[in-house]
Amino acid sequence: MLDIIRENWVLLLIGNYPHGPVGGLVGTLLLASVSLLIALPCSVAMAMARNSHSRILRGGVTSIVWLMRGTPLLMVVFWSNYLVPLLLGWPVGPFWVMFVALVVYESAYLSEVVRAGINALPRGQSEAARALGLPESVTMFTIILPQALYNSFPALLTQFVSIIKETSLGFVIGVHEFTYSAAVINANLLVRPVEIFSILALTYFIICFSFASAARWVERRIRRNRGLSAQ
Amino acid sequence: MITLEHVEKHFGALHALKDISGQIVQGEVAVLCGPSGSGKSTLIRTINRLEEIDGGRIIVAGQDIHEKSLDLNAFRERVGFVFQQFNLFPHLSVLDNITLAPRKLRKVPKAEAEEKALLLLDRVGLREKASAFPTSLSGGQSQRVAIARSLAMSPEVMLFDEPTSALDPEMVSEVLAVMTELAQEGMTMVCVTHEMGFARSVADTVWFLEAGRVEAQLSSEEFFESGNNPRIRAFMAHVGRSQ
Repeated sequence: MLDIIRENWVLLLIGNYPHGPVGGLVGTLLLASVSLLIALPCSVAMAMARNSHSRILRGGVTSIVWLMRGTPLLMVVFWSNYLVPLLLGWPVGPFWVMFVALVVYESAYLSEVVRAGINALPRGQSEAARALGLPESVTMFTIILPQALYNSFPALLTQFVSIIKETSLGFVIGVHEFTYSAAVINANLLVRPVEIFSILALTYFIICFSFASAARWVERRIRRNRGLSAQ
Repeated sequence: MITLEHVEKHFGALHALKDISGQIVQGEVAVLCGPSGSGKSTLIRTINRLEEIDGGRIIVAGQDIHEKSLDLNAFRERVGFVFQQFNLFPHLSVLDNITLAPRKLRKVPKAEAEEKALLLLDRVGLREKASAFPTSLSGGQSQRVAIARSLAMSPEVMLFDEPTSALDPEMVSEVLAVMTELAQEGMTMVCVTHEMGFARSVADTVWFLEAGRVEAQLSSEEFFESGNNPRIRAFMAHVGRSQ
């Protein structure tokens, strides 16, 4: 098993880079991070839309959330594989197709996390802001969101773990990520699939477990901070 | 300063406020009291429209506060509101809690806003807590900061919704002291409170509410000598017992 790693570590780590797109483990983490980076603000906007006064906005975004929650990610991946180039009018590489799929899918899930964080705040917070005469936008961005996002940070980190795992589905549309690297190595060696995919599984596990542990640690800290507040 | 005309409020089937009328003049301290569920908190919350009314009119400083043309946020800047649960912003320091509204709404420069905030903290006796966070304050300190936060906008009226009800007994007096001082400076105040000692010594008028109706609207002297009203007598006996 170690010899496989020793002979293929570059491919496992960064894919064919610099002779091709960044792939391997770095590709996986890159895809997950970029997706989270864009999905997070989208999810905040969606969470706000779901709490808005406009029935159309609320209904529209709620439908998107329910649609995504009721659809397997793989369907969304296929969908964006064919739909995104069609909509844009030019060919789109698999990395960006997967990025779009993840952003759309994860925005829906993350918006539920953010919305829960917003709704969990005591009503007195927004009332106090209103009583001071602060407009809704100021209340949202200086009072509500900073607290809601801080409180939901562990849940967001947990969701990031999901995204890391979900990037592996990019394999089916040819995204150069970690699973793809393993498949390439498997195709070269042919006779050692169990070992290769064990390396793959173990690496995913170590990464995801570390993030999940970090999330738990952060959650304990936040609980402790909250415990201090008698409010 | 504040005029209520036939104010009505329903929560579903509950008729929370029934035909409430009355007036509070400039510089007056009015105490709203009555048994729990009598509508006094609801009533005070209608005065800055934290609670909407179903009928009647409320006029504050000559302005009908339900007029369509009213800029609600600009109106609320002129009316301070102090909550039972303080509702300080826990992620902001004491100083930032106080300077937030002046800086965001009046575009007061940071240094100037902080200078004023420190003066207000002096007034409530908490200058040394300027950089502390709300979680490290006691209930009494939190409420005094909340009062300072409201005063930072230089309101014309201060509304207090049971400001001492969430406090441990030994902290009640420090908050009442701040409120008393404020009253002596001539602030127009409306206070929902069970602190009858405060009402007796500071209030000009006492409104006695029961079941969503104003049962009596008396000067403070009249109220405390109104032994002939059986409802007030029963209420006073009850409040006296619980204190």
